[in-house]
Amino acid sequence: MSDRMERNLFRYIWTHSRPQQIWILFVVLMSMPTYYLAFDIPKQIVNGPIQGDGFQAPGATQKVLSVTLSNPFGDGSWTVFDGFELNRMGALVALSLAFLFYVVVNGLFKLYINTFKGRLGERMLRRLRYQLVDRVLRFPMSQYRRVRSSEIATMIKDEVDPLGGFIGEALATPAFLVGQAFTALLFIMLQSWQLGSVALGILLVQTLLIPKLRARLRALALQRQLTARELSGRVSEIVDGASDIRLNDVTNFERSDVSDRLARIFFIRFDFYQWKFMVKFINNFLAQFTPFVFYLGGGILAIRGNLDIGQLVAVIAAYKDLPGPIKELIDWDYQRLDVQVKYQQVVNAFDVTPLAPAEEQALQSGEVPHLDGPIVFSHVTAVDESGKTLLEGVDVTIGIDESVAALGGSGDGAEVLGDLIARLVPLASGSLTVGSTAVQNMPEWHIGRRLGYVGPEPFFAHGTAREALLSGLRHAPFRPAPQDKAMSPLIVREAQASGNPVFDRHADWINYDAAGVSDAEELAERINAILSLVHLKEDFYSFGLRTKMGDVTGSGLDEKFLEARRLFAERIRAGANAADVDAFDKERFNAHLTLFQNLVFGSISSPDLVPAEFPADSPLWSFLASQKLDEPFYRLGREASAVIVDLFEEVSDNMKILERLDLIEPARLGDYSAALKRTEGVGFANVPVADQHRFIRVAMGYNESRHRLGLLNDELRAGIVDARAIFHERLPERMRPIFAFHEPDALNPFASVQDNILFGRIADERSGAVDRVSALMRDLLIELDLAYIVLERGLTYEIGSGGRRLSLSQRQQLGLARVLMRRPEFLIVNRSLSALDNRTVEKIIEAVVDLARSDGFGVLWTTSVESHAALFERTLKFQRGMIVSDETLAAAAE
Amino acid sequence: MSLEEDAKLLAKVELFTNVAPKRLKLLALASSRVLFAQGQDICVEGQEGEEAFILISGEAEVKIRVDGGAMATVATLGCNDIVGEMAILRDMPRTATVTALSPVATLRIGKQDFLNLLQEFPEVAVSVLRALADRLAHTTSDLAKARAARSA
Repeated sequence: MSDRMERNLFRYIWTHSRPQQIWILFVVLMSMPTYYLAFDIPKQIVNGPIQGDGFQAPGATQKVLSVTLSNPFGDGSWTVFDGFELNRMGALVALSLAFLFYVVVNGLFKLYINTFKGRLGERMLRRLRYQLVDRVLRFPMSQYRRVRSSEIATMIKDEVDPLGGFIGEALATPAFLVGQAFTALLFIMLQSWQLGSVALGILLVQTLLIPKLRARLRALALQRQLTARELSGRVSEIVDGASDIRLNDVTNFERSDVSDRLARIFFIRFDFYQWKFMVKFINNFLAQFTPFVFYLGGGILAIRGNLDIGQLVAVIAAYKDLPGPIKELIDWDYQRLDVQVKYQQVVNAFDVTPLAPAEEQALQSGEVPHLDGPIVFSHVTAVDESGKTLLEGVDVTIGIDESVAALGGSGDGAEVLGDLIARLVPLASGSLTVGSTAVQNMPEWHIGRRLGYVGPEPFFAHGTAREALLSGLRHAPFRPAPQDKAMSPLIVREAQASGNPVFDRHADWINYDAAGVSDAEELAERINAILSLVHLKEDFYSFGLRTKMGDVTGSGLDEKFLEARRLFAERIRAGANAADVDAFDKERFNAHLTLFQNLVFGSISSPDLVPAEFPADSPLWSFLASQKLDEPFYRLGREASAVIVDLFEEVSDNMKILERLDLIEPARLGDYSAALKRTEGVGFANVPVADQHRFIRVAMGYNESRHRLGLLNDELRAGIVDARAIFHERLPERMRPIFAFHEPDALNPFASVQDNILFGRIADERSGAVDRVSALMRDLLIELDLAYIVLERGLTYEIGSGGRRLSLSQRQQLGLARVLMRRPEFLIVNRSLSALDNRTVEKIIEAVVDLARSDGFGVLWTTSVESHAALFERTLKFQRGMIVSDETLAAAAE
Repeated sequence: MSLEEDAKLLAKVELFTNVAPKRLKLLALASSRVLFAQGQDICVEGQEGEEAFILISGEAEVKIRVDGGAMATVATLGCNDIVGEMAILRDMPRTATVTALSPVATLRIGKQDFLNLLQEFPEVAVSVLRALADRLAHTTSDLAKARAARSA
């Protein structure tokens, strides 16, 4: 099968839907007779039973519903069915019922035809979209750097969309319309060849001229599409680069660029409309010109007696049927034009060569061959797209189980070595083999399983961290999906009808063999091991500790977590650092919570229910008033605001120190400053409610240990603790489900796992408290077999699009972990941990080298740091595209 | 323990003597209180330091490693003394180990917070510069005296 795309839309349609197109044509033809009969019957009803033609005599009968085929070119006719002999009333009933019958039959035909066309179109659309994505997956690597992803996405999503609607009608509609037009024209010809010729002539002018005029429309449609696609590419660039645009103050350039593009689009579109309506005008004029000729020319002929009046009337009546189909045909042609332009565009963008052969990516559900020998570079030269030499005449052999560092700054060519093996950079000359096979001949399913490659910016699709971690293992549907989720026969049939693959998306695609595990439990262990190897375990473990308890609890776990809480309290009290945790106590004010948290003393299910967001009609305000807390809170909030406004007023917007300011949003400092002036010296009762609320909100977020403004006194603390109990009592019934109080004997589903275990807050002003508490908690969780459950929870963290909710260093670690998960036989790490600190990188390298030695795989690690290279058995040093030294450690050589 | 007190404490540090009280309050807000238990190290010789500590209460001893690896106590610090002030101005390893002799309360100034303050308010930088210049002048005159004494 050729990898080129079919450039002609009709040939594409014909290749993929020939039988269906012929069938629909046939059905359309079949529907014609009843279609015309349905038109004919009303005339018969009116003329016959209603007006009484042929029923003049009482008791007269007539034959109705006879079927006669007449020879249009001669006199003979053949009666198929004689009809029923009926009286006037009977004829009326019979004919009306027949009419009803034809209406139903016509309706059913129409329903069938439309459904069939629709399904055909949708299948073709599905096929085309699938083919396009398939091609994207097979693009040459360099192509990905050339295209803008959003433009490709727009094409697959929007631009091919109208094709679906068109394809179903591609042949049947024009055939039907041409047939109709032809019949009408023939009828006119039979009545009067002169008038027929005139009609034909004008029709010819119409069909020849209009498409010419439309050539310009076609060009405009093309431009319109290109500019719109560029706009979408540009918009996505703005979104992706928003922070760089704003931090360089170039937003206005973007504005003007967008405006410029919109102007171009506007003028193209406007031009388009002008032409469109001009063409329409000419078209309409030509269509109406014909009757003009009929009236004048036909009239003269009739007056002179060359044409009888009956014929003229018949011609004019027949002509009535001509413009309809012609107009529809012209519309169809216009649609064809539009769709063909779109199709051409899509073909131009996707018909890229050379595509990776489909066999290279064939699904392999079995074992793939091992890498069978060393990687040999001989006289290898590589150049980049600009023609710059990256690597020149390199000769080197790397053992398949060797740990090698490629040392060199960027531009020295060190990273090209790995890129060549992974085929990210094509070989310009020389040869590169792995064992007995040339690298360029290795199929992707071989490289992608046996070779591991991590670059500096690993990509992750939107999803959880766990999905990202396992995303390198989805090689084939290894274990079928559960019965209720597996592909139904209907889905399989449809996939085949559209040329889509029938791999089950809902099957378990995780390759256990590649990960070296036999079941889900072992997989969990492997995840655990790999994450600690790349130093990510702590990160996800703390994500897990920060998730809501309610998301973690499963069967029997509640008890265990409560046990963890109990043991934690026991142990911390027994140790020397009992004060590391400020425990939750209903009867005591907790200095490590905000005033609001102290008041409600519990957690809320919805994260947006924070004091700053409370609406003015929240029952909380009246509750505060009833507890006589409103005035003290107002005073405290006002004082805190005064200090903050005083300190921060002169601070410019971008100052990092503003990050410390969480009581008042930096952007609202001005509002608070104004409110302070407004309320200066005003008694609480006379302060406007909005200002009361404004300052009370600040007070609610106040945390004594954090903000240290010294605004709390014992009286207020006691007042808050008293109000706490009343708050619990009075909480309205409808609010109860979204509140969970801190109860010593129950887990709080809305609080974090950590809060639940500590049942308190870490006193972080104590040096080392965070570390000591974390260590104690971790030991406990391991002891109770809860550590992995927490880690697992952490792995459900949504990493965001492209993994952007992780830091760059976390993404790099996760990238390495993903590759390690599938136990590559040769691992290439290309400056992949550049965002991590030196010490951590060293630890990770040591662990990877150890793992490589024990599991027997090879490593090629590209770095520009000498101390990192020193950790490998062998170091290849690069300078200006050449290997300048190749040293093997004596210790490793032994 | 309040911001006000912390700011006053900062004002007593030589480096900040010339800085306006309002700016010190801002620095105090950015800083945090850290408590050390008796026997805990506030900083360890040779380790990278990213922060300075001002003692609020308690006592701490300053030890350095002498030839042969033994630790020798060179000074005892008390209220208002500062530990690691140079670390917030330049990258350098700690030159001594400081250990709490009793429970010690400190105010921790992070390097980044301090640098942010300097960037935002150049007059603070000038004040710090003046303090450093004073210190340099003292050191220079001390050096001159020492040289004179030696040559005499």
